[in-house]
Amino acid sequence: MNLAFFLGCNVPTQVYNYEASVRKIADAFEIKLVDIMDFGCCGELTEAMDYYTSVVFSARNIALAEKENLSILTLCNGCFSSLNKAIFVLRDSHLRSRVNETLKKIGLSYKGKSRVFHFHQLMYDIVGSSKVKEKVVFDLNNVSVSCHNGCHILRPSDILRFDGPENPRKLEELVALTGARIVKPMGIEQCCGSVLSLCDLDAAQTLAIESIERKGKVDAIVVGCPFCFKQFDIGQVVARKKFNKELNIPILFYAELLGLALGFDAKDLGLNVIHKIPTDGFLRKLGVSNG
Amino acid sequence: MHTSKTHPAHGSQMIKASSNEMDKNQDIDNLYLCYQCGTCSGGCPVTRLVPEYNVRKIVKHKKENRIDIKNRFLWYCLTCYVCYERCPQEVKPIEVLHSITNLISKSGLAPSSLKEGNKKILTVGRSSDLTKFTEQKRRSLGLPELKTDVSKDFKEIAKMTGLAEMV
Repeated sequence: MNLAFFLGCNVPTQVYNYEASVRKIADAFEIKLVDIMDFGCCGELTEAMDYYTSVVFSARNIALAEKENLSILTLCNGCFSSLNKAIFVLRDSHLRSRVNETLKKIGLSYKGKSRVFHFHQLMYDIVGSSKVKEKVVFDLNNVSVSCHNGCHILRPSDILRFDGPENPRKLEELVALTGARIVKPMGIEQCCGSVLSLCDLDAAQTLAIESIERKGKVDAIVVGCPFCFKQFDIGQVVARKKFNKELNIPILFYAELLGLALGFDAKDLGLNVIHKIPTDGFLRKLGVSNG
Repeated sequence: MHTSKTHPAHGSQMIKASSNEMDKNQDIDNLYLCYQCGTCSGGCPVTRLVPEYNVRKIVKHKKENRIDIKNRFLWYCLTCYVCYERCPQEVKPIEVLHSITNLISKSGLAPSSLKEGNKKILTVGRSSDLTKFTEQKRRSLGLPELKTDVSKDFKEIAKMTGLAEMV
């Protein structure tokens, strides 16, 4: 299977540990990730300012993948949702021809042939749990983790159609395949608060800290979105300095956790870089060295 | 014959009369079905912390055509889509909100942080830079080299759609 590898903005520049892990995992499952060098922003950040432009940005990226006859793999929840929302509204022929008028000027056209998958969706819906389970060579049953799906992989659920909008289960099922023990968070999952940091940093950080505290006593929190990752990882550094709160829970991408279970070195998965809350204690519990 | 200003049918004419190009981009056809139950604001993670941001009231004010475009709390949405999922009338409150913030942005009044982020996209094609430091780190993880600037199409598009002037 070949997929256009859509990195977006944050993955390649800030959380390339996620990218490194997914590249390793894709190799293990014989999925070829095709780098399209001109891929750029998905359009998410433009939606509140100018919806039409955000749809054109999305369509522009999808059109690049269509030229190669490829569907798209995203890692970021934001990219997953904005590209899929664009595909949804571009079913309207009036909007599609207006967008194509704009795209024509840069030599592209949107046809609506490519699909857009999130990495978690690739693992759960396409590769499937039995194949994932087959490749697990290292049981992570020494650690307990709590999952955080993030908003934009779940909602709007009528468009994204991946999992239950408020009671998701797929990520927990995927994590359970690694052997890690799952701790259910208190109440329903609360937004990490990331987008609010554009306008109100204190409120955004409060949301992040609350969200972490709802996860209970765990060895790590498992995420699938760069924004949630940064909110929770850097958020704990802020919590220490600003609110005098010691949380110290490492934040791991599901891809990093799965990479460990597949037997990859922690160092090659990027577990010793980027993480502000060190992963050493977590890895020690697993009997794994970190770099 | 007396007709109430807030009658749904007349209301929807009103919004059509007052709507512009940007309004039509969002799906706000159900705006007039809102009966102000408050499910949206009740489930909103922001309202609990910042009561000045209240999506139920924003929908009400949009219906009544009395939005204060200077109200900075209009920009407090997390885009978590809980309101969208739970609304019993499928009003899509977040799209109502975005139709408002889109209009405000047209007058150049978007928050500076959002403008900066969009300006960055028009400068390098991504909302964050691929720095020399990052490039080196990427190499040491065995990751492929990427273009540091993929902004060409984004610049062209923004010129055509008007985004370039809004940032």
